[in-house]
Amino acid sequence: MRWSHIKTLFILSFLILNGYLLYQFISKQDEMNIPELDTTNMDLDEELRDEDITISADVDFEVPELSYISSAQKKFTGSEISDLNDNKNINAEKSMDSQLLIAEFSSPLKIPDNADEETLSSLVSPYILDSSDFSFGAWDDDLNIIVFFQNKEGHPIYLNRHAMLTFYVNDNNEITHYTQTMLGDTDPQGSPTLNTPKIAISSLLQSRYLNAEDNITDVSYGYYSRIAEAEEGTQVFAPTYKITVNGESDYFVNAAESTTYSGNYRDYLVKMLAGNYLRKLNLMADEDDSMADSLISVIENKIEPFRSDLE
Amino acid sequence: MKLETAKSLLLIILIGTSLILTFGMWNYRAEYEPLNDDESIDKADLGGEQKNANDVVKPNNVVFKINGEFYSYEDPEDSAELFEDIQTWEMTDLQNTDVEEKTADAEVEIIFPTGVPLSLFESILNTDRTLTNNMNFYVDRFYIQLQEEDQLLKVYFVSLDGDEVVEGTIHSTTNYEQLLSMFSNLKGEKYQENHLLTETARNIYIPDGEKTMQSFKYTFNMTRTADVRNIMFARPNLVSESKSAESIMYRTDDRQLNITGGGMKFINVAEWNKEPADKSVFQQSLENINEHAGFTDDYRLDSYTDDSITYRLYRLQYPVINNSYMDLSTIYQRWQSDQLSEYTRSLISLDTVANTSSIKLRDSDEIISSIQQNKNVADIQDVQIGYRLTVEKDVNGEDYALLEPDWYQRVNDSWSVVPEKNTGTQNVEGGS
Repeated sequence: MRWSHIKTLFILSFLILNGYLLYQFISKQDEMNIPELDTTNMDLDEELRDEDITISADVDFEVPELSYISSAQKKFTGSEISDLNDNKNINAEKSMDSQLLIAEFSSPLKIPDNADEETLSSLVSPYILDSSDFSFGAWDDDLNIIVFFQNKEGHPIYLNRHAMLTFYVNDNNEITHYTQTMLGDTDPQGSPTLNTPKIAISSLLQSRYLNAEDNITDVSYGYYSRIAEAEEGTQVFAPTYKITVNGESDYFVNAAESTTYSGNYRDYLVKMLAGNYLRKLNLMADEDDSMADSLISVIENKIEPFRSDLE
Repeated sequence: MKLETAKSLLLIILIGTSLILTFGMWNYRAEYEPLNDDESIDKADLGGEQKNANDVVKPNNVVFKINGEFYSYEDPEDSAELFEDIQTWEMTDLQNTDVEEKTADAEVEIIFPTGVPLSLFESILNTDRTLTNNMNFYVDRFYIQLQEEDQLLKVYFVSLDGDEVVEGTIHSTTNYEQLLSMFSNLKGEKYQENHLLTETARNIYIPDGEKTMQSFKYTFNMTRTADVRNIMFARPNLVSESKSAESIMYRTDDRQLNITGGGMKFINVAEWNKEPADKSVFQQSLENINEHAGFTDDYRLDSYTDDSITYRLYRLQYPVINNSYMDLSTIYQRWQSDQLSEYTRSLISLDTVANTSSIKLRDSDEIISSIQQNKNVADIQDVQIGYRLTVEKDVNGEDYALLEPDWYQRVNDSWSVVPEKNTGTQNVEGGS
């Protein structure tokens, strides 16, 4: 039959066509799927080996699903302050703009020797508003100041003067005062695809923050903002990796855009205290506030040696 | 018969799979792209023209000097035209020379608003080779001398610090004749005499007499804030927006854009890389502004530093000055290596003239004595007639822009009205 021949011919030609199409399709898929991630990972491993940089931190965890968030500063209320004052051991007040809470221990709080993060947290938590929202951030030896970061959406807001508990420690290892700032409710912004921790490390390498023989000791994530804002402003926080190098220096790497910042805690704290907190305290001191007066002198003494570094 | 049905079935399946494969290949791209970017954004721009160095580096004075007398064109349009001619003249024999000694009686001085690296002139003049390799050779003017015996023109660039001179030659009798004929017409009505001030920061020429000029009332357009946001932020969905009555603030973790009163101020505190950029800041700013068609009007180079560039709006060849909180007459960019760290600019563009009126400016003697009485006369960089731009509401509550001519002086790169004689600070306003 003629028709049957034609059919056979068609079947043959379609078989060939399908074979070709399948080949094309697969090669196209391969081409598209060469994930940039893989190549950078390979390059990164190589580059790290060249520079003799080691990673002892766990960097293979799941990429977090965090969005950008925005938040304005919380104002402390009168009843929150009076609740705190029910505690016999402390005296609390708030600044004129209600954004800064200051407290003084009537007898300084002794920090046990070799205290770890948990001991510290449980030591201070009875004296603090919303203490469960805060977690240990850093202990700066030069200033002898301990900071706790506020957590938002379950993750810390790194080094932000609007979301920080600051403990002022004297030479006898006792906490004499603390100050507190908090962010209010957060709004989610967008949620871009985030980079893996390895890509964050490679941006750190590219921006020349890593030196030969460095060891990456810890990688964690939270939120970070570079623009510290005017009193009423809303701040935007980006999902950010905190990368600790040699167990001592922290770097912040934006998890979506790979911008990198060195986390110089001392400089930040000095700037924050000198530029922001002291101004608010001075306003309080102008109203004959003795607690503000004593905290001002504590802070002035701490930042005095470093003030000139700022300029 | 059974075999035939099976063959038909097989054929249908084969046709089906080939269709699916073709379709799949077709669509593969579309699936891929969204991964690359979080959302597709309408590429916004400001609707201006593409400009190159030629369009933004222009002189703001051309002075004819002969026998100790100074002349300039009555109409700045003529000066602009002459400079356009000069740009086509072929300059050759470029070389460093000793500090210039005036050998000719007739000379044209072409003065620019700000000092720029000499190498920039390679792209706006017709030179046969590089003018200089010295990056610190800044000039704010050049001179063309008429050499009578050889019937040619000599060009001199003198560095701002006066240490270095580069000379060139224009071997063209036509060009020579053209300038010569201008010199013989200087007494004509197209030209005006000028008074030279030398006690100021640089030589300043003030045209003699009393001028009457037009002031203009313009309607204007304002760029949509969402467009500006989309230009300044690669991912608008990450941006937080806060509005108040007069202003709107867009912010991410490291960038901030404030739009207020017809202007914008953008800052970027991100730290990208520490490599020095391989292009000049001027080149980077031109490319960046062109990218979003940001030259929305006749903007010209007004100030040039190692890390920042300012362009100023010109109207009818005169500079426009607006000293409000958001400067509506300038575009300012600051760069850190290859990153734009600050961008301040006007977002209004003048549209049509709704009204004009005549204004008689103060006469030159009054201006000269006011300048000479100024305690800080040595800091005055320039004196020009400029238009003061103010935004006002008319009786119908509609905003309009007023351009009023006045005498301006430039100190520390900022323009202010030349003070009225003997009245101290009373009239040193500059719009609001």
